Amino acid sequence: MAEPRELVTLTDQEVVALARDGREAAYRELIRRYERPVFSLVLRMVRDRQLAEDLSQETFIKALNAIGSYRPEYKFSSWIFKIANNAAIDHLRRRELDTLSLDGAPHAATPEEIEATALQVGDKGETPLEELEARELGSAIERAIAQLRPEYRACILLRHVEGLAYEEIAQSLDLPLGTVKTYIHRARHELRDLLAHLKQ
Amino acid sequence: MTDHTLHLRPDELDLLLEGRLASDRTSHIETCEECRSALDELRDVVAQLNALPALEPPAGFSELVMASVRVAPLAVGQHLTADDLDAWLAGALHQDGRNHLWACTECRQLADAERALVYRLEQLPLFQPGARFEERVMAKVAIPKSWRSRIFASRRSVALAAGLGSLVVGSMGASVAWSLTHQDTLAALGTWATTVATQWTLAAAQGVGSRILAQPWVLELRSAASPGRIAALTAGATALYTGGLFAMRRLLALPAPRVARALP
Repeated sequence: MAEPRELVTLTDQEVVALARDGREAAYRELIRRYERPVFSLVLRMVRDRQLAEDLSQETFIKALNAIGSYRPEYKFSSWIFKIANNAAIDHLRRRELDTLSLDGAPHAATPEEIEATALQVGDKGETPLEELEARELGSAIERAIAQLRPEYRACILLRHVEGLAYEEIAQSLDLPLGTVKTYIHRARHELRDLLAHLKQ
Repeated sequence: MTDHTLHLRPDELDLLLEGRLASDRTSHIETCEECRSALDELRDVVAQLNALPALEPPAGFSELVMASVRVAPLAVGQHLTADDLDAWLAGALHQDGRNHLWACTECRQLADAERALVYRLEQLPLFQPGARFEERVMAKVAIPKSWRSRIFASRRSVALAAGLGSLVVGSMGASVAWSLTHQDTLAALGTWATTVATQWTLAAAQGVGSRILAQPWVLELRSAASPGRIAALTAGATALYTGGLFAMRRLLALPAPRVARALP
């Protein structure tokens, strides 16, 4: 039986096999491996720490309770990111929380609309949690990412922050490979435009 | 008298100097004073030209030329594609693409901007969820118990499993031992069972057959049947069966691949 210390050296598939065999340590190892990547993806998608924690928790509970139905021919990372992304996208669609960015709604057309929908860092009544969020997601690039369409955002985060290959992203997001490439290229194009003012 | 039509032409004189003139023309020079003189004159000119010193270009000449040469703007279609940029970012851009990147300022600027952006994205930190995240998840995860952990869960389960195992193994062993010591009895039992089963099957088949034959519709069918009707019925059934086979074959056939054709 592999000890928790030995679990670190095993591949995802081997840890999953142990989890399916009922090893609690293997479950904990999977959480430790993916809690930061999953939480970071969800947080950058929904831009709300508490909500991101809830959705990440929901992701892991769903994934680990369904570990028996996981197909080992796919990468575990693709599988868990798929569940996490679905949770985030479902939530954004339901609540349209993608409009809550520090720079205001991406659909806001006029300066007044942008100002009205923007979250101001240092507003009176800001809780410590909100201050933390503002610090975490307040950089120019984070704000630029927040202005991307959710589909573009998921693709660019999975590619360049989580380091997934195009094929894995296609698998994770249930999208054709060509669509994933297009989304990533467009996202980079938009990000370049959004960050262009920093050079001037 | 000298035959002027045989004089060596200037190109032949060149070939003669280089030692590549055909031998039938080379012999002419031995008898023709005029051609020999022309050859000597050409040899002098070549020698003088070869003696000219090599001159170095002025300093900064190559820079001056390159500054005046503008890289020809490439058509939009020839610029690097997004896939090319991906390949470049991964260090796998093909040679043509690298050549283009070197020559095209526009593509180079784009590639540099892409690299800077990707670098910034890759530097983004991963965030840590709140404390006790793992515990909160584990509290809601139902860990399936393997048969091994179920057996060894308690002393009682171990005893139960051991008892059940002993019962199964013991009964199997007893069966095997009894079979080995009572082979005649087993053979007799087998023969008896086969006979009884055959009798029962035959009796059941006869019973079903006689019941069907006793049905009124069978009697009606018998009276209505004539050789012509039976032949027509058979032919109809055969035609229906054949038609069905063809229909099935058509349904199961794979569709022909659609071929994209160029527009005229």
